[in-house]
Amino acid sequence: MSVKTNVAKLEDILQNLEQEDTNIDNAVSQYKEAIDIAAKTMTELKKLEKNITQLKKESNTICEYSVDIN
Amino acid sequence: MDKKIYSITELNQLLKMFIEENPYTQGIWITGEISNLKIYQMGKQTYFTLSDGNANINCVMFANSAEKLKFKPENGAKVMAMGKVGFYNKKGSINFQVFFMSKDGLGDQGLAFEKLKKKLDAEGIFAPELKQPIPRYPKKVGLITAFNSAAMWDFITITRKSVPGIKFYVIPATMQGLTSANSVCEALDIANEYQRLDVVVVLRGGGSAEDLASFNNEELVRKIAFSKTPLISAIGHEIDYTLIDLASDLRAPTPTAAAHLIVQSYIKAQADIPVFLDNIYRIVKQKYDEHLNELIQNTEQISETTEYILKENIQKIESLIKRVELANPLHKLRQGFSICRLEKTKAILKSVNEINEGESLQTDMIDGHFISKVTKVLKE
Repeated sequence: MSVKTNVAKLEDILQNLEQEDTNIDNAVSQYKEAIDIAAKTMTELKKLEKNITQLKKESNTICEYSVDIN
Repeated sequence: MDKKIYSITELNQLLKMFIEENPYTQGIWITGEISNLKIYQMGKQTYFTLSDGNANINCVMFANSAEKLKFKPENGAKVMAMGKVGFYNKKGSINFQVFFMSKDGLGDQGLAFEKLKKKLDAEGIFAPELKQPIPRYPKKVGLITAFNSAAMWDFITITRKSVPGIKFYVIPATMQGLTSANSVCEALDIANEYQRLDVVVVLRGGGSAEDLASFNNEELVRKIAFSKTPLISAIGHEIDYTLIDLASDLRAPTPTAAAHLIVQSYIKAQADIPVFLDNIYRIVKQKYDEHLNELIQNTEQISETTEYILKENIQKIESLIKRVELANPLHKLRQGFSICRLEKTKAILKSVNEINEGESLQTDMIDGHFISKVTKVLKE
């Protein structure tokens, strides 16, 4: 899943939803799709945030060990 | 390129090396008249000048040589002296260290020695080009010597004390008398043909000139000069010069000195290795520090950039979620709007023209829907 692709998809859907002549049934289904994409993307981003925090912690530990060895 | 500037000590060390390591200045005979004679009773050294009328050289004779003199030196006496040119570092002066001196000139043996030396020298037998370098770290050392002699054991004991791993191959030979030259030649053949030796040492302790005469044998001198294996001669004491000393790749003044020559590089390496290791450690540590700093900087930069990008994306998604929520089509139903469809087809109605009287319609509201029947269509 690419965040960039999902952002582009969400922007497309928003444009459709904001158009007045969009069929209400399509609008509802697109709205549901948008909510689903947004939720999944947010979950992925939170997961990445967690990973980055962990990596940062590990790299700090490595640097500390290196200084110790030194 | 910067010019090397020598200190006087360095210059004198160089001069000493050039003079004292040159075979043409070592073990040579000179003749002249004694002047400025001074004999120091305490140290028993004898100092004098030798002159041929045109040039002078300062000479010194140390106690061990002076006490063997068979005449009393006097100013004005004409003498022949055998010795070596030396350089005195402290004063930057040259002198001639006399090992042997005769008032009556050379005897038959001396004349024969000089004649053969001249002949072999003219043929290039003593030329520096023939000298092979002595391996710095010899592992297999051939010893041509009298088996079980004091010189052999001195050599082995001193060498083993510093470097226990060196292997010795003793090739016994007669080191004195009529058969000696031939015996040493045969031993050298064996050393060159059958052993893969790093170096050969011809060893013999001190003795009279007659005892050492075989080491001036022409055939032996030639064989030594062309030895395939690098060869060190260590015959007698420092004052004993034989022709094989001039033909060998390196002359050691004594068997003990030869042992020290063999192990000197090992001893130097033992002292140098900790210094080398220290240098290697410092270089590696410097590189390590450089890379470590680079790693820390890069890690911090990557971490900051990634966090920035991540936060930016989260904000973007949050903003999109808000916009999607606002665009939720069901909001309109909450506001009181409803969706009207044909009950049969569920088609959404956008105009009264799509409706006929009597048709069933479905109306969707936020919390459910209801069915109604069209009783009248009114157009605006």
